[in-house]
Amino acid sequence: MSVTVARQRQSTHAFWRRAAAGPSPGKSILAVLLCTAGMLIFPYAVSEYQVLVAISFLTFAIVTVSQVLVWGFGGILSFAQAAFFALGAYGYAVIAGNLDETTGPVIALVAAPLVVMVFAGFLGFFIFYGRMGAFLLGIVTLSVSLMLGAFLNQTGDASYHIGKVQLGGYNGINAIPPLLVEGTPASTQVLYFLTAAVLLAGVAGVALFRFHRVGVGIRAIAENPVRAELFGYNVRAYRLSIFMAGAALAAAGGEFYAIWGSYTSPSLVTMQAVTLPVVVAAVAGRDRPIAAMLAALVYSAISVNLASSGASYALIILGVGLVVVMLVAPGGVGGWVAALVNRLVIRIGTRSAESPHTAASQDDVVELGSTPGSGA
Amino acid sequence: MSAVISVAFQACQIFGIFLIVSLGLSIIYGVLGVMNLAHGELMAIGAYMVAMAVNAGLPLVAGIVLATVLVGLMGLVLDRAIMRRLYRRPTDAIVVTFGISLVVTQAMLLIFGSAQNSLISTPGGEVTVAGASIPTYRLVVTLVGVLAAYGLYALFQRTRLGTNIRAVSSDQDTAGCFGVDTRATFTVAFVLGSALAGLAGALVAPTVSLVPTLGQGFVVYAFVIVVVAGERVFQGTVLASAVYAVLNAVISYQFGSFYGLLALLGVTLVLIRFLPGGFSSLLRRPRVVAAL
Repeated sequence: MSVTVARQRQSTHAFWRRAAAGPSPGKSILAVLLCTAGMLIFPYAVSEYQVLVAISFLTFAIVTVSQVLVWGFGGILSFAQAAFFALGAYGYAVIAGNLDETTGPVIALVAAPLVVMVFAGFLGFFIFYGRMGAFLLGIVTLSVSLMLGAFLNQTGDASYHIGKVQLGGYNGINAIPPLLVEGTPASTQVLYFLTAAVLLAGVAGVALFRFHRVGVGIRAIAENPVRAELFGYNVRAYRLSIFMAGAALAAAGGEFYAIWGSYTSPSLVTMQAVTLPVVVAAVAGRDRPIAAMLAALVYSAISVNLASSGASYALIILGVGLVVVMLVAPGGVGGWVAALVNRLVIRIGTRSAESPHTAASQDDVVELGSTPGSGA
Repeated sequence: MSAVISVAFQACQIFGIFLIVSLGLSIIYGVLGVMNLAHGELMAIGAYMVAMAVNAGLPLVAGIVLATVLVGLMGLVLDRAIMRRLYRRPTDAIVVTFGISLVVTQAMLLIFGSAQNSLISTPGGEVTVAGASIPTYRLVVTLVGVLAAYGLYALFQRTRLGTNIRAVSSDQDTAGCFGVDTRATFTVAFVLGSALAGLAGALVAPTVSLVPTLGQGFVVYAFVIVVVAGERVFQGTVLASAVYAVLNAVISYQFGSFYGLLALLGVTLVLIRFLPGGFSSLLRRPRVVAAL
């Protein structure tokens, strides 16, 4: 064996080891591209009804990704993401319902997240500039969410209206104006692709943001606020901004939920709905946007299927599943899968480098190395 | 006038319950660092057990004692089977306790159905205070709450076990170095916290309609109380419970539960802004105003 071959092999080994070691922008981009491909193919592989159902899954995935942004990266244990989601849905319904039906929905689509962002800014100002501790922050966001639910529930009286739109109390708002494409309501496919685009943009943004200078600062703050502050970061401003960004993303999810079902109700902000994004993010691994997205989709699919096969047992199975998963995979399933895949990458990568005949299998290796868990 | 007195006694009862729920939560949070999302469900179990015991012909007192003990045992089972693996993993514990609460709620829905009104009546009749007739049971609940708080205080301050628990909650590693069995202490704390949840649930059982989510309204307040109590757990919790009980009774009586929740949030935000150390700091520094 010549020296060159040995060196070559060594460098190939080093390549696979590097590829398997920790997150990198390249891996994140690859993983996002894979997910994009999957979502592009999906509507052509299943029935239109399934596409329709999938849209609501996507909206839930958007909230979950916003949870990852705020909690996993920002270090802010927020129980308000579901509330922002609901506010996005209500915001869209109110704004679109008060404007004319062609331009109204488009304006609402842009305006609702901005309104929610301003609300989050207001709330966040008190939280972050009051220097609330982590536990307290959780409590305050939780009670704000539950309060929103309680408030919406008691708006049944006709006197509760914003412009032309009745808030509707327990029943919520019905007949929300749809998005119009050339004068007719957007088809299921168009709505699917729009929602998927928002989701993927969110995921890509969150996944790549960590490598950016500002993202690094935010991670530093999440890890140790005091240390980051001593390094000169404006901790409060950073945290407030990330909180607002997360609110806007969650609100965007809420809008599409409202468009999808053309209704919205206070059931979006029950105790269970409020804790769910936190729980799913924790199951996936709270700093793994791609894993969180997949977990949210899987969760939605499972809960819908369980619900149709016997509603009362669904949540029991789900609860048991959550407990078991957290006991088996501490720190989230995402990390567990990533570690597994990384080990596999090193194994296959170094073996295929040794025998050139199996080099063809490297295509598979690339795919393995970029499965969502590892890139997140 | 009689309305004022009636609300005042309502506040006393709520105070008793808040005290028990938040001390239980606070012990678990203080020692294990776990935000127990299943606390409300443990309360509900306690309430259902009392209802079952009373319907089976037991006296209410026996039912309450039985419920407390059984929910405590349930805490032991939960701890041995699940929580034991989650010490020092507070994030995962959120998910797991959420999972437990899902399972318990749904299991109770399956077993008992969703709409079940209280099957047991409030015992003890009424007494008349300054023109207002007050159910005697309110006074009993208040008394039990205060006694439970005092009993815990004595346990924590005067016994070896209590000292161990306090040591572990303030510095686990150091306590371990001094020979405290930290894992056993964790278990004791979780069982104690669970039993308190059971007791609280048992006490409210005759006064509320029995639904699996009956604990949630109390637990939201209890979470806040744990936070604003500050580092002197007992004194802080007593003060905070009193403030929020009055708030809850007055606002809910006058304006309904939504405004009760609104007041909870408003008061909490103001408290945190001006009293970052919680109610405990009131006790240590008499001149609070200077600190503003």
